[in-house]
Amino acid sequence: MNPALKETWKQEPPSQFLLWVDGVGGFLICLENRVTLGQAGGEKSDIGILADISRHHATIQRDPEGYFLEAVRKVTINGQPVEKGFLHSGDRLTLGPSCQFLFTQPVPISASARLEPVSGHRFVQPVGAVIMMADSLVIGPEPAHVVMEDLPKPIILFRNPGGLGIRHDRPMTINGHAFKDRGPLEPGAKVKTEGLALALEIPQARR
Amino acid sequence: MLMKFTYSCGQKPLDGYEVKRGVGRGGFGEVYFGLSEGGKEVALKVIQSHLEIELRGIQQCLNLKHANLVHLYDIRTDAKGDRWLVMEYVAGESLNTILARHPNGVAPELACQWFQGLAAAIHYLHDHGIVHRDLKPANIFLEAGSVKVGDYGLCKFIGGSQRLGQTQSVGTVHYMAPEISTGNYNRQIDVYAAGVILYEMLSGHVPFEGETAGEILMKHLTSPPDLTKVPGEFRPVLDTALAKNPAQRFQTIAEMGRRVAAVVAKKAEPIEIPIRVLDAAPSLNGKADVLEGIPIGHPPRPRLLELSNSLLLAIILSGVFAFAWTILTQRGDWRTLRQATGTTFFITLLSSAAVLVAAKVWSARQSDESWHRRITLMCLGFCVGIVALWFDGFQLPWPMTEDPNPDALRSVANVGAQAGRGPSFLGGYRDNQTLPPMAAYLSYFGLMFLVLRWWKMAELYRPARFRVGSLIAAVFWAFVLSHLLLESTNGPEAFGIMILTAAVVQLASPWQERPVQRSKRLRLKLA
Repeated sequence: MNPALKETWKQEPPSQFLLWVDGVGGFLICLENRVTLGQAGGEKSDIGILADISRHHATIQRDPEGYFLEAVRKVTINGQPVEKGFLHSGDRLTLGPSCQFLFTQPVPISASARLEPVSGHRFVQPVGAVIMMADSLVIGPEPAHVVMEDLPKPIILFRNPGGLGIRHDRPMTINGHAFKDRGPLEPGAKVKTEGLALALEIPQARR
Repeated sequence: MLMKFTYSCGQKPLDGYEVKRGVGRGGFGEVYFGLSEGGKEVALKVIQSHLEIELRGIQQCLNLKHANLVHLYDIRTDAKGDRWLVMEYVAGESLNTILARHPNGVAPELACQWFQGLAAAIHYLHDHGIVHRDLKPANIFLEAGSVKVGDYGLCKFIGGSQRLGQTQSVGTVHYMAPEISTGNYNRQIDVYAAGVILYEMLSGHVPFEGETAGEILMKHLTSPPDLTKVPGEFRPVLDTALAKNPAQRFQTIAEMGRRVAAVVAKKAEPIEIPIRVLDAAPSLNGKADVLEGIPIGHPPRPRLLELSNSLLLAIILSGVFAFAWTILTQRGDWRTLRQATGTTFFITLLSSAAVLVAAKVWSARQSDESWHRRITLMCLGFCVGIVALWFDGFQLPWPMTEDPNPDALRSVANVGAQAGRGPSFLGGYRDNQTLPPMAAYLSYFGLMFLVLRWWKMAELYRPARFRVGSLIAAVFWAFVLSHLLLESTNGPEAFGIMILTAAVVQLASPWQERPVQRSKRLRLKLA
């Protein structure tokens, strides 16, 4: 086994990072089990949104049973006002008057969930969607968290004890080093395979 | 197919901008998503194979501003001497991606809506002397529902990648007007390309497909497009837009946009029909016609149900009103009152039913001429008059003779022998007896039905359920006509019947507040 695998993420992994996938898009990956959603500019929220909502508007908690939403301010799920409740794949989550997200768990065998704005609102981070990564994150043809139809074999990001790794059935390079089918990931890692290029970035605190 | 990008996340090939990820590859070169130092999201396009003349084309467009255009911010040169076009980053998907997901096309209303954005952008470019030349779904983006057209100003250089990774040589020939082959073309090629894109949005396919660019170009030059794949109402527009001869196409993209909007407006708006009637015949009572036109959509079944409800209600109301009216206007013992009430009740019910049924039948029609309805009502009035006469004959002797068992034969005989009928109900005729009772009754009821627009009282969307004005009109005419034709003593019943009818019809007809409605065509006109 590759010795590099042991020292995957040298320090404790950050609570979130940005995933840039060439030709597909940018994603904010949250690794914590609990994230808070709120208006941009507030330090209180893990996921900042440019919308007419509260600084701390809602919390989403990943439990063994599923994703549990706790509303701090007005939240509706599929049009029904809720204070607490589980989220199901395909639910439309509306924060405040207009900011709406589509909540999905696109890959049945993975607990990871995707939160995608559908009302034209933007995250503070310049990304198209937030992924709450549980054990793994699938990039490839559907079903996947990051859909890329052209990719012949899926690429899987997974949690390691103490870090993150990447698995792919094809040869790849991580920061220029060649790996056969799996390799370690760290902040700033740039992965290139024959099918795609992706990069991990730790977001800087923005204003 | 791997997209190889020269630069990767975190690199700053261009001073002041940090590349985050590759987006795609256009005809000119790679496109990146990046952030400026201040955090502005931008699309960065490397113009790898540039010529000065092409750069001038872009430069010309740098300061164009339109809501449906992807904005260009700047042209910059990097350390290696490469030129970069800094543009607005559009977060949405390209039309190409959307159409790939909808292989049978999108809903005509949506296609039309998007087309309006596209047409507005092209019109703006044409208005500023610029021909796009490379219109294709890959250059059209949809961000939060609005259209953004990109890659303008890249004149001469026609190329780029087609959906599903077709080779660059095929590129955009799907959208190429036939006259491009001659090299002699103008903004009509954008109209043609817009037609191809509309065709594709509606059907999911481009009109001319082929294995090679040459084959497709040949079809553009010679084959007529197969318009059976698009909804029929769009065929005339596409036929004009895709004409081989540029002179036969729409002369401006704005004109084409209007025609496309009209197609969808016409399709979505059944209520437009009465407005056309109004346009066509302004001399008629246009407002009334439009009002009549609103309930067109009523399916027949509820109408029948409504009618039976109205008739039931009319029975009850006629009974109550007839009794009240008789009590108020007649003197006599119980039997007399009962007989008078019965007569009033039956005739009121009959005339109310005549109006209700006629109005219900008419409510299904968009428009009828008022006089036509009046004549029909007058005929119904004659029928009511005949029945009234018959009833009157029946009842005639009772108030005076107190005969408890009148038989029909005698009654008929009495009607015939009206001349000798001194003290009867009909005996209230004026003394000089100008009209025989039959003529009097027929003309009274006939005229009563003729002079008023009774169907207005039964309309679903009348101003109020009960209008005193209608009642007053009925009182007025009943008063005038009964005095003219029937004279003094017979008054109460014949007079009362028509007034009660006016009340019963209004109260028994279903009524709704008119919904606030404006035709889409008008809305579009106002917008």
